[in-house]
Amino acid sequence: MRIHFDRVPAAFVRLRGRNGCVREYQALVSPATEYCIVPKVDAYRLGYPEAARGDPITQPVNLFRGVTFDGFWEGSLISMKEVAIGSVSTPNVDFIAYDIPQISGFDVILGKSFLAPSRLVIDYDVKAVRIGHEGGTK
Amino acid sequence: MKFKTFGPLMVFCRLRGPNGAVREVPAIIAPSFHYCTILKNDAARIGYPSVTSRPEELRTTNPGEVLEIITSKGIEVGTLVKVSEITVGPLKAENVEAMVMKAEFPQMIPVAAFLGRSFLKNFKLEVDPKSGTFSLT
Repeated sequence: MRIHFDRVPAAFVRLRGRNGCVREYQALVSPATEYCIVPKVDAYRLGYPEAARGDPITQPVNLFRGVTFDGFWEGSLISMKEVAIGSVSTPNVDFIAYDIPQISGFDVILGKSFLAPSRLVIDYDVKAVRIGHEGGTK
Repeated sequence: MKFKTFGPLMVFCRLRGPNGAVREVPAIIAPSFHYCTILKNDAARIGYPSVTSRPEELRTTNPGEVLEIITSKGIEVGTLVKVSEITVGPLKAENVEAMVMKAEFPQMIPVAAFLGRSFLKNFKLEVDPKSGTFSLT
């Protein structure tokens, strides 16, 4: 599947959560990111209420600590029921529930937990990203 | 040029600055970054000593050089420089815009640079999970 982008590789992605709810998000395609990321409030709406709970005393068992080039962060690890771009979908993709700054203009980051099984081509010359998902179900 | 990948898309890149000095550093290919990102001490050694001063001080003296970028953790302040040449194997890009971070990368990150769009715009990136390789052409 070929998707054109303007400044950075991006795509619209559909997430189906544990409760069957489906939502579509503008996602940043980032093969340098280890996991996919979804905001906490959206994780809650997709059926992962434990991911949105910010209990400062009890640490959830699925707490995930990550490291980026500008420091450390933490979020809850969840398994998204289905992730789809266009007609290509993948079941059970690992996501981290973490709030990305709204100013970034992206709701979701598609990292390697989704992109790893697929052949990915980013062509800056024609400003297009091509995702050939070999592990997809459709 | 093909590279083997064991997880992150890592390469060794050579940075050449305006003073002619060359540093070879491990880097991660980061297509979602607008600019390449390098460390303060590497920037100083290849000929940008001014970036070792704090961006807050630099903002008052030379506002054009200060850069604010959005990261997953919020807005980060850095200094914009133009690296004379960045080379990855036989692939070369000249006058590449790079951001010098105010802070050092955490030690857990085994790299000293991120190659963002300012470098990658000259190339085509292809990741092939079947053969465990990626290529830059």
